Amino acid sequence: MDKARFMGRMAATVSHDLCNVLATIQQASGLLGDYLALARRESLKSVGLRPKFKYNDKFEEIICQVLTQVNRGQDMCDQLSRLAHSSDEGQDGADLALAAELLVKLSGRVAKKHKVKFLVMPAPMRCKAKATLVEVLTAMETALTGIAWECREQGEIVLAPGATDTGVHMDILCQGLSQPDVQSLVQALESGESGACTAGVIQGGVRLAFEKAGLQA
Amino acid sequence: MNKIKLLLVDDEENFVNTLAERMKMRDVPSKVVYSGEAALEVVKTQEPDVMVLDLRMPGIDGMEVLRKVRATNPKVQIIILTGHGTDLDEDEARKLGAFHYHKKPIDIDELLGTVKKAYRERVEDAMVAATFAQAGDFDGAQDILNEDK
Repeated sequence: MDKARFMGRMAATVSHDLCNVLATIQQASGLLGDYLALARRESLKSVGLRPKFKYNDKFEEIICQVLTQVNRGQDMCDQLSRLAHSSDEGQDGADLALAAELLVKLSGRVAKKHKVKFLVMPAPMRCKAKATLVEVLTAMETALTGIAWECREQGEIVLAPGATDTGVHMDILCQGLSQPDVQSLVQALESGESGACTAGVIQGGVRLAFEKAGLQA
Repeated sequence: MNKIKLLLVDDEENFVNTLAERMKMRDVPSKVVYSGEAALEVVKTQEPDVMVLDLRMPGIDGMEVLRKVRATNPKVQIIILTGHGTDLDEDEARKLGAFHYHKKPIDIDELLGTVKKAYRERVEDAMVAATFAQAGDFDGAQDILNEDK
């Protein structure tokens, strides 16, 4: 876990510095926009004596693109920061629905690469696993990546948190998954290092079962 | 709004200088410093109405500046603007009396709105205090000026 904390601290530092970089880009492009607006006003005031800046519209379009990317970067930084601090969390359990949302937001590149969409279903109740957030994310990421590969170009992969009397689980489902695919995935998951959950075969997908947090032994 | 005395404190020089230029274009000129130490010096000699303060800076960090300024100059409204903030930082800053907590990057007009709101609250407090003082209740006036937000 010390390694996870170390990586978390490093990632937090990087994500925070990236926020400063984004803020500087945002203000610099905003200042360009301010000067364009000033030039437009001066042109209007001069009643045509001072012509409008020739590339005004193109500049505005570029500024808009920069700001869109800044917003995208900000969202990524927020998620990265959340991930970075995840090694400090989850000592009293990890919420599966929140973990799934975080993982999906961080896995945009995987979804794009395999041409699939990730969808997190709302949890029927609070599903808190007796594991750290890092352990939950590790298990879910391994399963999700494997399923995304098996289901590439086949539409939607659904993450559905749920609970029973004794445990909580995360079902990862895709209509394109065949039963042999699921079985080989489960075997691969079980041979992995994570002891926080057990993997099982269900109709159309994989179930990662965790011990429920807050239950007395 | 020309009369707001605004202090911007951030060690990211490009960022804070650009921010100051954009504020000036919106008729809110400001003074810029790049460290916590410099911010404390300015507060001693030219108390600002509103301070926009970064948290993570070399030397005296933003949280320490917030703590010190709240103790010595409680009328200064402090807005935290940081790229380093966690939920714990936000809780602590609010407990210490920060007027608002923003994360970078932020839209200039949103920040300007917060600055104006902070200034209005400071002026309103001063007006209420003046009313108390006019009525001879100097202790009441002082209490209002020292009141934690």
